[in-house]
Amino acid sequence: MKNEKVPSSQMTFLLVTTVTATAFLFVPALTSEVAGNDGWMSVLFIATAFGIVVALVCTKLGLFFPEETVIEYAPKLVGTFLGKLIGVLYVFFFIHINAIIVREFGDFLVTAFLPETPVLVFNIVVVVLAASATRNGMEVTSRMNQFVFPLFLGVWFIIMALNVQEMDLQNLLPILENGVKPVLAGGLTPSAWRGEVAIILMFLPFLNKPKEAAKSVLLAVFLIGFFLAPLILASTMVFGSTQEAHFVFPTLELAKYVSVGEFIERIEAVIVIVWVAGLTVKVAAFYLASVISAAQVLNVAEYRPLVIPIGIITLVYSIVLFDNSRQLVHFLAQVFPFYAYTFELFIPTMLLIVALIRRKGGQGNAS
Amino acid sequence: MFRKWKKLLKKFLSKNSPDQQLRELDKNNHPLSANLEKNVTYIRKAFDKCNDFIIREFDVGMNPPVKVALLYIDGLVNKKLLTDGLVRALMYDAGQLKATDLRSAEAFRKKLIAFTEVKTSSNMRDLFGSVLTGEAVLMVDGLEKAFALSSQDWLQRAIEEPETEAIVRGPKEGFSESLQTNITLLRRRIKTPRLKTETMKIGRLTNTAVCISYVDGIVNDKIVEEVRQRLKRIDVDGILESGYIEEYIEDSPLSMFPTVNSTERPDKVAGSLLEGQVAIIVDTTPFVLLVPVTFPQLLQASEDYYLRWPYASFIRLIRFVALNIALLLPPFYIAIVTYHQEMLPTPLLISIAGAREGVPFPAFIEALLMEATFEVLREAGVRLPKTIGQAISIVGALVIGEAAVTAGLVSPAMVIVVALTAISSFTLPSYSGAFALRILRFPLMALAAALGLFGIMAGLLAMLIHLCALRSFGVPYIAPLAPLSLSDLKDILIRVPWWGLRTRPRMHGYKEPVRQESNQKPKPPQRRTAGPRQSGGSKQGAVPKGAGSSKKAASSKQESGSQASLKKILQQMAGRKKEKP
Repeated sequence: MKNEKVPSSQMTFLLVTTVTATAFLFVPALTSEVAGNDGWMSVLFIATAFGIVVALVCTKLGLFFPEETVIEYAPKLVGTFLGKLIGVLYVFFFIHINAIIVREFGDFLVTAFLPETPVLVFNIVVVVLAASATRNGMEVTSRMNQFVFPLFLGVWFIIMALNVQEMDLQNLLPILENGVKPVLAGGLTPSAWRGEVAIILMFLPFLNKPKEAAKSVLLAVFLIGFFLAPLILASTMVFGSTQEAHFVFPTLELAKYVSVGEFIERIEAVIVIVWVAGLTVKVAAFYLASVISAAQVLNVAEYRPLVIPIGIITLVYSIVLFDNSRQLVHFLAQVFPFYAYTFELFIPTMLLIVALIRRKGGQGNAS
Repeated sequence: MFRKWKKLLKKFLSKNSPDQQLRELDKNNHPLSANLEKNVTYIRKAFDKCNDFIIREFDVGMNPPVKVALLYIDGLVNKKLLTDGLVRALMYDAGQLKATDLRSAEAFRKKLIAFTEVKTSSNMRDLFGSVLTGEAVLMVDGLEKAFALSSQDWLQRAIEEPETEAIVRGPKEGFSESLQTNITLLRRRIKTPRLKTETMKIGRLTNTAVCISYVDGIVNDKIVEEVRQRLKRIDVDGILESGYIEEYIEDSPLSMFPTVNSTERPDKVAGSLLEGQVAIIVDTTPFVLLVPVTFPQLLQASEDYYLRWPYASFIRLIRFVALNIALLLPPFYIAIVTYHQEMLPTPLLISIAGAREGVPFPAFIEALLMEATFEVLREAGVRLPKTIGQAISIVGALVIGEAAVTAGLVSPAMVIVVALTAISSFTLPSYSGAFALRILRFPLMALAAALGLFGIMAGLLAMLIHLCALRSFGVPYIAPLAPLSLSDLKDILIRVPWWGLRTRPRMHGYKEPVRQESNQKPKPPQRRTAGPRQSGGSKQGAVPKGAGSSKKAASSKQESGSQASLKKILQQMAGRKKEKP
């Protein structure tokens, strides 16, 4: 399966879509709830800083073993038992995260779109789509993203550009009213999202030039900041931070505001379906990570037979995880950051330290 | 174990097959004997009850006369040519030759047979092949060889304008049913020995000639080899049209999308060959296959390259819009009318709601009815004799369109939607590509009815994933888009001017990527001051050589922007005014 190679530019865009697809939806509200007017700073500075650290740690670690994923090299670094344990934990992490994403997807669509439809319908559809992308492999998923990403960008631009007249700069004042603390605290959630670029731990061997990994992941981190910060700025400016925090999906509300010449109105449905595409790519990316990691933990050469079982687990998990969408939001705000940090930064850092001390691996020494 | 059973089964089946005897005959490697009588008897037996098969036996020379036999199929050969060029020459002129000459195949070939193209065959299979493809075969008593003379001449359709791919500007020639003519049409366009035409026979009974054509040096050799392999695998009794071959060699038989392109236009084939594709020309059909094909190529018509580039680009864009309409308009209409009414501006919503009032069906059923009706009309239009075609259009337009609306069965809006969809689907240059969209429209409509815009998106994503995974002879199906190749986008949504189409598509023309010198953009000649162009000037473009202006030109090149050039023009004008008096 590692015959499939992806150029680093495609990987960058895949990472951008992967992170932003849900970040656009949840981050603005969760951030402004804590950071108030200054939510954009949390996103722009704190999260980017965190993202840079994650990117550097993960790619540095990955370059010690440019042909292997974290599941494969963890046992070589910290011994079979601990290494396998880390592998199992990562498998669980990816499946769990993927189930959360699927649930986010379903909740978003129920809220935005078809409130009478059971969330299971949306979850099934997205898991089936992502499963077919995953079965076709890394190459197909990243190629698919090449179509989805420009659409996504277009929607982002429409939301920003067509709401300019609603924006009120007064809403951003006063800047740093309560000092830096809320900005730091507000950075927790966006940082966890930005840290999702840690999925490169699984995808690094797919890069056709692994040396460029750090560059492509860092670029992705900056691009995410570049897209996310203006969005949260816009929604703060349009709604004010208090109201923004009360929405579940401020971006969707922004989309509802779009109106051109009394003719193009209420186009949020079109915007939402573009989101569907982006979310599908995100689910596919994490799906891929979970099946590949599961295959490697189980020592199976071919991951494709695992696609359907893991899909079913993800689907069931996505339904039973949360009773309602408030619970989901609560989880995302309170638990998710620390949970994610563990896998995005803590474990990779520990592994990196071990690797640096033991000087294991081939190419890492040279660089 | 299983394999053994399979073998036995195969053996059993093949023994009982009625084809067996015929196949024996086909494989016949029976050598020719020196005895003419024997040969003739054998051949007569094989061609028993074939009334169009003619054997003409006569004597050549005087002392002693040599017996010869001329074999041909009536209707496949030019009889006048045979009579004048061969029979007459043999009967009258052979007397002047020495008797030994009549005993040597070489002498026969060199001195007696007044034909440009002569092959010799030494076994029955070759001989039969020659006779059946329209060659006249001359057998001479005492020689173990027969001469096959190319005297093919049968009635065939003239070269006409291709009916399925009409264009306004460009050559009007279309392929015809004869392989030779078709190859000629290509050769007349690409006059280089690098244009290769490998011919092979496919079909146990039809022995259809199939020709692989490509431009050596441009084409990817792996693709040619792959084409050869896939063609060699075909084992079937007959090939009557290139469609047979298409189904044997395509990459993804279950896909809705064609991974082999077909065309009737020689200019299109020539253009594709120059981009590194491989053409498969099949005898007895005007439709030539092109591989590998990518999805964007299905949207390209040969006319795009003959029209000026802004017009061509405009047409490309129109076609792209039409593609989307053909695929998405009915599903979108269903989704919006059923689920997303709020997206419509209020006046439009009211008028649509007003039109839909009294329609007894939900939008999906209504759309399905109309689409199905249209597909039926379309099929009827193709099948019906041309004289009745008029009647069908009247029935279709008036009775079904008008009456169904008046009767309140469908809403006028739906009629508009279906009509627009139908018209749009005709803008696609590729017939099979249009088919894919026609069929995929129906599942999308069902998804739209079930889940609204979300359903459409889910369907499109499924299509996208499939398209991303699809390959045609190793080339990704949506090649320049994904994987993205920026330089190849010059010929996708827009068509840049010819002097800008510097490179061949990366995916299948990479062996010799550059197709022209750069910087051939036409420039206005430098007035008066301009000297003759330098021979190496192609790199610099038309740089004036005149003593005074060369410095000026150089300096103006450094100054960029329109202001600088404006200034220069003003200066020049001023200077000329001064010079005049």
